[in-house]
Amino acid sequence: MDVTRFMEAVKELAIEEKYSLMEELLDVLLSSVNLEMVPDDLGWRINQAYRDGKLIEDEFLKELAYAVSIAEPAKFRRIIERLKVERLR
Amino acid sequence: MTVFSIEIVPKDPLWKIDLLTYIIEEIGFSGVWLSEHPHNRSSFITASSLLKKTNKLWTGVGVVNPYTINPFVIAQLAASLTEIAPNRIKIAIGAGDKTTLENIGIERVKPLEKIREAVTIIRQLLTKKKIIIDRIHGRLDFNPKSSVPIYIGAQGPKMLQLSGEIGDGVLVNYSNPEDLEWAYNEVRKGIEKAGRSIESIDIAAYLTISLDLDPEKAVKTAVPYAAYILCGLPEKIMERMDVSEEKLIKVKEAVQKADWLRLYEIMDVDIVKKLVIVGKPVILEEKLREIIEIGYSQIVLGAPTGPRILQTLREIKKIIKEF
Repeated sequence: MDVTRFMEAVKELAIEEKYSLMEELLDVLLSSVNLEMVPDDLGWRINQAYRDGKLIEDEFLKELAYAVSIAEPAKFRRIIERLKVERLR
Repeated sequence: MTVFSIEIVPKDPLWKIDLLTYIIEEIGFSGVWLSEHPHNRSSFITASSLLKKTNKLWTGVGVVNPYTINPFVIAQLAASLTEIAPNRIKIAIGAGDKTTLENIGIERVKPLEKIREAVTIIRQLLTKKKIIIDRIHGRLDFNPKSSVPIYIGAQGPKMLQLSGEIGDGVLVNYSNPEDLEWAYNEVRKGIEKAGRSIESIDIAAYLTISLDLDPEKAVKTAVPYAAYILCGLPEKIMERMDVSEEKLIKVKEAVQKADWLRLYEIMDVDIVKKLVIVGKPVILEEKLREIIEIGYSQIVLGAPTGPRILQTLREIKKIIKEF
């Protein structure tokens, strides 16, 4: 559910904002101490998408968001809340 | 010219370590050190995976402990890695932490002799493919595809001197320039005793760093690492720390129980700052100038690095360009 809300908010973003959000999510994920909770196949898809320069694409950004929602649910919710506030401005 | 490398702790899933290494290579580091600890993923097996997917980055495996892995097997593993990536392997060996070894049923006896013997065995197997000393004799039935520099992880004065005497390199596990200067001079004593030149050995400062734009977050991340270091300090350095016996006992108990909340209560920020390079990224630049001035030829930026790994790596990239 959170991931769906996140992807709706992302649609409104300019490409630079989307890129910066992708970097922020990846940073939260790679800094997490809860990565054993993220399924390995999901982790490897994110890994490959970054290497291929495709992590910014909606399909992979959604997977990245899902991984963050598993490893760092509170931080992920804060990012969604911030996006909602920014959309209202 | 100073070489910059970074430590990766193989406690996280391989997909993360693999991606982080890709980013580290992109940033322009020369190498990564994969730390070895019996509680984490195997650094040798992790290295075999990373080396297949990197191009220029060398990988150091260590500090490997000859009490937990037989030196013969260390040589076998290192030689096998040269087949994947010739000239991109380094290994470091060290006698490790007494308490950790005791917890897994190993007695840490005569560490200096153990390391001297391990270096001899590993070096002979890697260069001559056979070893005959005292009770030990055996051979490798395959050819290593390149040489493998052998580093020694050292903290105490005698181990630092031994490193200077017999190591191809030494990993000096301090972060405070004052401690690093003392350690450097101990390594030099060993170099002089062996009649070697200072250029014949890579003297690496293995720093513990925690950087963030928010210094409080950086300190919080550093606390467990500082506590762990504090518990293993040699007497000479402990004298300079000004930590009471009572405080040290409390810290050791909390480390033993992995009680991080307790550590946040009892570890003073001043102690953390003496053991870890901690704060805003700019502090790293100041410390690096002092450390490189001492004479260190390699800087290893060690864990935890910072609470936000990517942000910290981007900041480090800007800083190391200056050197």
